[in-house]
Amino acid sequence: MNTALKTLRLHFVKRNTVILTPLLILLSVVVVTVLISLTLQRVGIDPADPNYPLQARNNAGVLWALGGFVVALGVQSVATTFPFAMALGADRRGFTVGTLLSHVVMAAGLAAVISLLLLVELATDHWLINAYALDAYLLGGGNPLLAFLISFLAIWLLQSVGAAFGAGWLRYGVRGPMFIGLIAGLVLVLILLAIAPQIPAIIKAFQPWWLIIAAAIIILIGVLGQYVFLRRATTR
Amino acid sequence: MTSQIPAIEALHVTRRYGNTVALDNVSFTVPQHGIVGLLGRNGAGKTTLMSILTGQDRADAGSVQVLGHNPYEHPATLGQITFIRDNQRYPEDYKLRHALEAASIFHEHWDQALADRLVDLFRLPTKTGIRKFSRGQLSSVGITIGLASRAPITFFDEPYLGLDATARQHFYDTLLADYAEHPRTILLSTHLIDEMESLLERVVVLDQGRVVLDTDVAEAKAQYCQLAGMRGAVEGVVGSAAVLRRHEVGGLLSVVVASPLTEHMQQAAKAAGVEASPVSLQQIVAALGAADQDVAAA
Repeated sequence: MNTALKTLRLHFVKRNTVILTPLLILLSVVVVTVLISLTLQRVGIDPADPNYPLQARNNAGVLWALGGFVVALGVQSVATTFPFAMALGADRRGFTVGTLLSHVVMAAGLAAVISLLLLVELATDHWLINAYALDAYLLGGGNPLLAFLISFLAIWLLQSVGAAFGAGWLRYGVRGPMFIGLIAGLVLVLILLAIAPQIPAIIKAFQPWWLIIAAAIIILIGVLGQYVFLRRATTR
Repeated sequence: MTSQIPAIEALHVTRRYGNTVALDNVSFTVPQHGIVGLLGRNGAGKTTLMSILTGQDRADAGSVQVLGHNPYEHPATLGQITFIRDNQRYPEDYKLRHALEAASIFHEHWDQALADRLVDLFRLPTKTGIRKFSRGQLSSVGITIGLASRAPITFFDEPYLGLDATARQHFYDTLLADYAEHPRTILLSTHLIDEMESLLERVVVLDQGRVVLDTDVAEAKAQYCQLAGMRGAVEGVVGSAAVLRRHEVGGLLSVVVASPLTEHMQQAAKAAGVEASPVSLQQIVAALGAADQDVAAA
């Protein structure tokens, strides 16, 4: 078995953390959304109002609940796993590929669960009480296939960004993440400055698939950054 | 043909960190199948050398070959190495079973029965997170992984840290027994030289980044001897032999000299009323590490 596959297996040794915990987070989002919806309805908000679904679909609970955890997983997948993998005989290239595979598997798995929960939500008329937990604009507005695609790319992107920060920390210590953040912020500001006069036209012409391209570019930068940093990182 | 290839071959290895020279033109060879001690004072370069030999770091100059290949980014060679550091970091929230499962994934010769036996011997907790382990328990985890991996090239970096006397004896006994049944190349660094001397077949001694001794243990001990007695008498017996270590109290002098304890020297010592005796490996390593300081003091 090559290093990439061994590393993939390594990242799933802690099954509670990488499988059980995100599932619990997702279920918590559903439960909390149900409780909040019940509360709002008891306060007097009428689910029969035509505006109710339009407002309810603004729920970004999945992002707030899962986003930080997924970034942290990405950071851990490199910062604390790489030194141990080195001790066990992994090479850097194999570790990077294996970590990338683990991010893809994790993203696909979680996206599948999100889509499945969305299907359940739709089948139960929003958990029987008009609670919009996963039927949200953020996840494609109630389309399970879109929910899968958006979740998959977002989770993969967040892990890749976390992994790049983790690799930067291994290579340069605390200065690594600091400089990555500064440079990323600077690049964003420069891009905004460059396209500022065209922003209204860009918004008007916006196509959702642009986000897919943007996500792919960020993921690629994250993976390449991870490999470049790890290439010279020492584990002392 | 494979058995002819040295397990480790370092040629003119140099490693610098800024203005500090951690390794300076280090060259030595370790044949396959043996237990080799990598000895020297704190900061001599032992861990730096191990990092380079295991592909976790790169030399600034020179070359390293492990089983005939440069280990850096060479998956086939790295797959035959295990190196658990004295301060090994484990992934967040790992328990013992996670660390052992991870090690079993990377080592095709992993022996779970041996790992289980070592966990029992060392009384390692199975429900506590590794980050809460004591210093000795962490060492025990490293030893368990290092031994149960049965990697053809196994490195131990001060594996005894924090271990109680019973646990250390378990380590030595298991190491020898398992090595006898599954010969491989083991390179370990230690400061408990007296205690571990019987395990070692060969030693490489570093001092300030340089190799100062590279030989079999028996041959090392045969190259040196100790003389003690009245200063004038001892100096007369020493003659032109190189003095490694000199310890003077009042009119009494004790020296470690780079000379075999020959029949001639023993007779000369007896005639001069000087005590001549063999030296232990620890005394040799201590003397090699203090050579510059003794000269300065003189």
